[in-house]
Amino acid sequence: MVTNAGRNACAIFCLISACAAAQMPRLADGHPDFNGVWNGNANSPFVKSEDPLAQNLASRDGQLLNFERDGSLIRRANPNKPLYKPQFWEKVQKLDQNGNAEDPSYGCMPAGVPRMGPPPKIVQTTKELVFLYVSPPAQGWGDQYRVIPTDGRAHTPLEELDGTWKGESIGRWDGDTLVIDTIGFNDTSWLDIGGYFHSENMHVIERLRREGDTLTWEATVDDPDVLIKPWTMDRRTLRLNPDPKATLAESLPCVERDLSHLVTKEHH
Amino acid sequence: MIRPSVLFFLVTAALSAAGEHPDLNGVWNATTVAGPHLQSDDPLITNLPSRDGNLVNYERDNALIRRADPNRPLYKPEFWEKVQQLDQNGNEADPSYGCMPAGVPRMGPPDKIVQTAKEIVFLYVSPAARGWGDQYRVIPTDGRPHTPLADLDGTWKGESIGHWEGDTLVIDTIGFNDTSWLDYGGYFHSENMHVIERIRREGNNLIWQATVEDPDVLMRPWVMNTRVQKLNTDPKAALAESLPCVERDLSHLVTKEHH
Repeated sequence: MVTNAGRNACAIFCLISACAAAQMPRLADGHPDFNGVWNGNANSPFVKSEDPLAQNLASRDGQLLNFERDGSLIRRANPNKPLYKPQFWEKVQKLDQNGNAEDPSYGCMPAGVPRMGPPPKIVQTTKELVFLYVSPPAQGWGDQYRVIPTDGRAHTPLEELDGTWKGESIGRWDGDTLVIDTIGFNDTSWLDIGGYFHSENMHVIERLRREGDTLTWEATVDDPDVLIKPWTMDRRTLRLNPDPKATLAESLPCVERDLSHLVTKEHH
Repeated sequence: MIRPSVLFFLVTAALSAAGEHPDLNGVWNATTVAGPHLQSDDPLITNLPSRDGNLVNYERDNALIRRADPNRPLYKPEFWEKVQQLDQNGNEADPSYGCMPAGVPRMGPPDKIVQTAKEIVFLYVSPAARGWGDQYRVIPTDGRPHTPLADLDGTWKGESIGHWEGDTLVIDTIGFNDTSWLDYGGYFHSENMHVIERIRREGNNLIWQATVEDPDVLMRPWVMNTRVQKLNTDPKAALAESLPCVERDLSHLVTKEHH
């Protein structure tokens, strides 16, 4: 409980981290409360009005009219790319050029970790967190979820894990930051469009922290088999839906109708 | 038979620390009494002597048993022909055969439950043979009412609201599409379907019952077979990842046999 004096102090010095920590909603076990629907995208990867790219899209007047096409243009212009070992450059380029056929997300396959990104809803108990995902209608992977134990268990040895899309995720608290460590992947999923494949030895570390009503997600991809150095993905920030009765929409199931009709190699 | 005092102990031992409601948290992936599966005293078993009481050809035997189940939804006479036609063309007509979700109530009881004071999450693992991918349901238990049916877009899972009646979790669901089936057999339904599920824990068993009300097409509510799931007692038990659905077979099927 914060006293009135304490509240005033917080009003004045609310940027001081001690006060921010005191105001953090917490579960009974003292860890930050991540429960909620986090579907307000505060810091999307899309173009901001002050971005020079917006001026290069003059006909758009800073707006993204053709969402998919502009979205892919902006993502391709992003200098933050995974750095592959030279022997894989040709492979990445080839996968990219044939993305409509090669990208598993184009054939109704799951996105997998880390491509599925931060979740639009979190359900948290003292033992585990559940991440619930809604697929964008354009991609329509159907429902996806992740269960992340935070009970202190260790990873299953890598050689005993069947490689999967989501891998084996184990969470732990590093102060108020939830750190999710994931191994045990298949080598089918991609990290993003652009032909960004990975090996079965990929190791993903995600960090989530709550600041007020925003949730910040960062992910680092460690894959020494194919990458020269770990790839730190663009940070993403989600905003809490303040409606306590907010619900997730049902994901549309994926129906692959278009792939055989595409006549160009354009890949959003 | 468990004496009432022992039963009482088992039930109270399972009460949640979060409140006085039973604790349904856990991985419930061991099916003990599979509704449609064969019991040793079932007369059908004597009709399958070559199987020696075992289901050798799982899919085919299972389909046989489910077809022999007398517990069917009773459709209004004007829909009998439609049901029969859907059933006969089940490979094409059954949405579960084309990588679509099962929906409520066909998806049945969950493989894992995560429960907080405000809501209950059901997590499902798709059987590999059907491979619908991951499925989940979020069931609020915070006392909210349903959205008016007219304001709901019909979906596979509908809008589920939970409340406690004593130690039984009652889930009331409306707002369906009319695409999903209740089970194979051509058991379609209307958008006005109303499903009531009742879940209760007895010791380490989870008992699931569902009633389907659909006066547009059914003569009377259909009470589905009770299903019982057993708690996985390994506290570190995890769900396997569902296989994504890949539709490869449909165009190659040459018979109308539908499991």
